[in-house]
Amino acid sequence: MSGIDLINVVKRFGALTVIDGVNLEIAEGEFVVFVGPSGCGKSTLLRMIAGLEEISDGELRIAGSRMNETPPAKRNIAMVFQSYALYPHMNVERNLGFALETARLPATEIRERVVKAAKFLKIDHLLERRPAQLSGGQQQRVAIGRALVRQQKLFLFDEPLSNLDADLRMEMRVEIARIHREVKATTVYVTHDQMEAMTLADRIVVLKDGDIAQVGTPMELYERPANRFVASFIGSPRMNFLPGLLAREGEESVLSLSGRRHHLVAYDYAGDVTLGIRPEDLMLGGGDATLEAEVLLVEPLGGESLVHLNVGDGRSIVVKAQGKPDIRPGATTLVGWKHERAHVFDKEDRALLPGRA
Amino acid sequence: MARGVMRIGLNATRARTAWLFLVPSLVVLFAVALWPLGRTFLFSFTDAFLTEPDIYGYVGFENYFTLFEDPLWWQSVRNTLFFTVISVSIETALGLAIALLLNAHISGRGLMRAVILIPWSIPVVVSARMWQWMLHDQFGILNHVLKLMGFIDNGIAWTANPNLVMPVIIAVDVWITTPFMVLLILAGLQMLPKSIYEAASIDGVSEWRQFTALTLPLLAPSIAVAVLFRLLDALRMFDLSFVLSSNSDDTKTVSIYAREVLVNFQDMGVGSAASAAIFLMIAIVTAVYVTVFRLNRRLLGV
Repeated sequence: MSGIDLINVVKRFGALTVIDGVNLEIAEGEFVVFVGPSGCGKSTLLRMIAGLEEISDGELRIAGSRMNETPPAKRNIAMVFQSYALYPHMNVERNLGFALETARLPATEIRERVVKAAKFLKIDHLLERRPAQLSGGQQQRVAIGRALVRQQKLFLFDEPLSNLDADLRMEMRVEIARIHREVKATTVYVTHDQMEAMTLADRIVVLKDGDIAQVGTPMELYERPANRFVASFIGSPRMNFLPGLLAREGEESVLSLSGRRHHLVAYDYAGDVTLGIRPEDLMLGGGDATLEAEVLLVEPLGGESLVHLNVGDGRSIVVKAQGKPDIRPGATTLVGWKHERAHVFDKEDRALLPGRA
Repeated sequence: MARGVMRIGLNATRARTAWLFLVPSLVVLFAVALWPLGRTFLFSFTDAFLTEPDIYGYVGFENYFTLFEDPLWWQSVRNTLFFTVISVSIETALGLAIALLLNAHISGRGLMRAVILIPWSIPVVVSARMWQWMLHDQFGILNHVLKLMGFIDNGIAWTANPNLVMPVIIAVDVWITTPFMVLLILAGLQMLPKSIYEAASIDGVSEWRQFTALTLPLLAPSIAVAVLFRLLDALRMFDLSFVLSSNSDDTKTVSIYAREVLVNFQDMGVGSAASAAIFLMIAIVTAVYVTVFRLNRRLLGV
C-alpha cells in the first residue's frame, strides 16, 4: 500500500494562501500529473507531499498513515528535481549510491543496485564522470537513477524536463513512461506542459490559484472539461471561445451566435454563455452550425495546417485542417462544427451539460 | 587562404589592443613592486647604511650569514610561524562556525551580518590601541571586570607578562579578522545549491553527514582561498605586535625584526637581507600551500 491521501490540505505563507483546501486520493501505482500555469501551487503541493514544505492545515496520508509531522527521509519517497540537484563533487556512481552509502548498505549491494539502475537508464558508461561533464539529458538520467536505486514505492517528479530542449524532452518523456511501466511505483509528476500531462498521466489534476480546477483522465479532461480554464489549458492549439446567448424554447435551447440562431438540445440555463470549440473540431465549409469568416493566415505544418480566421467583431479563431487547404488570406469562407463537439460555458465559466429537467 | 590571413590580422590587432590596456598596470606594478623588490635584493648583498644609502660596496652573502647567526631572527621566525598557525586556525574554525550560523534562516541575520563586520572595518592600529587600554593592568576594563567578579585580586599585566602576551595578541587578532573569514566563507556558502540539501534530506542523509559530505567538500575552495589570504597577512603581521608589545622579544615578528635592523640600527644590508628572507619565506609557504591544496583536490576529486 503506498497511495496518497490529501485531506483538506492548506498551505499559507504568512497571510498568503497558496494551497486552499485540496482533497485528492492517489491510488497505489497510479501516475498522477499536477498541471497548471506558474504560480498555481502545483510545485508547493508536491513539496508538501515530499515534506520539504510544512502543511499549514489538513492532513497528508501516505499508505494510510498521517505524515504531516514525518520528516522527508521517513516518508519512503524518492524525488527528482527540476535542477537535478546532483552532488557536483561526486561522480555519477557516487551520486547514485550516496543514499545507500548513507543507509550503510553493504558495498557489494550498493554497486549491484547502482550498476543495475545505470544500465536501465543507459548511463552505465558514464559512471566515472562528474555532473559537470554530462549533458542535460544525461544529468536528468542520473537524477532519475538516484531515485530508482532507493527502490521506494513513491516517486515525485518536480518539472523534471523543463530544462531540456524539445527533442530530449520527448525522449525523456518516453523514458519516464517506460520506467513507470516497469517499476510500477506510485508517481506524482508536476509540469506546466499540458502535453507531458496528457501523454504520461493516468489521471491529471489541473490546479488553478491553489485549488483543484478538475481531476480526471486525460481524455475526460479533453472531452469534458469542467470549466473554461481546463478547456483552454488542455489541448493545443487552445480551444476557441465565442460569446453567445442561450435561451430556452420549449423542448430545446436556442443559441444566438453572431446573429444566427442554432437549435440545441435542452439546457437548464438561459443567459450569456461562451461557446468553446477546439480547433480540431472546426471544419472549413460546413457543419451543424456555421459562421462566415475571413481568412487571416494559413500556417502549414506539413500534415496539417492552422488556419486563422476573423469571425467579425475583431474575434479570431483557429481551425486545424488536414493537409494544406486551398484558401488564401483575404478570402471568405464558411467555418462550421458539430453541435456535440461544442462546449457551452455559463457566466461563471462552468461547463453546462444538457439538462434533463 | 585570404580568410586565414584576415583572421591572423584580426588576432594580431586584438593582441595589440590587449597589450595597450595592460601597459599602464604593468608600469605601475614594476614601479611599486618589482623595482623596490629588486633594490631590496640588491641591497641585501651590500654594506649600505641608511644614513648614506648611495655609498656601498658588495659583501656577498655576509649579511645573510649575520642574519642567520642572530638568535633573535630565529626567535622572530618562530614567533611569526606560531602566531600564524594558531591565529589562522582559530579564525578559520570560528569563521566557519559563524558563517554557518549566519547562513541559517534565522530572523535578524541581515543585521547580524552587518554587525559582525565592525571589528574588521576598524583600522588595526586603532583596534590595537583600544585593546591596549582595555587590557591595561591598572585602569583596563578587563581587569576591572575580573576584579568585580572576584576572579582576581590584583590586575594582570596582560601585555607585559611574557607568557600571556602572545596569547593576548592572538586573541585580539582573532577578534579583528574572524569577520573577514566569516565574510569569505559565507559568500562560498551562498553559492551552494539549495536543492542538493533537499535531495539529501529526502534520501535520509543526516544533517551532520550533509555537512561533512556535501558542505565541507563543496566549501573547501572558498575556505582555501580565505585561509591563503589570511596566511599571507599573518606572516607579515606587524601592527598588532608593534602597538601592544613593541619591545618584547616574545612577540617580535619577522617584519618587526626587519624594521628594527633597518630603521633603529640603520643597517640597510642586514635589514634588506631580512626583508628578502621574509619574502622568500612567504613565497615558499604559499607555494607549498597551493601545491598541497591542488594535490588534495585532485586526490579527493573535488
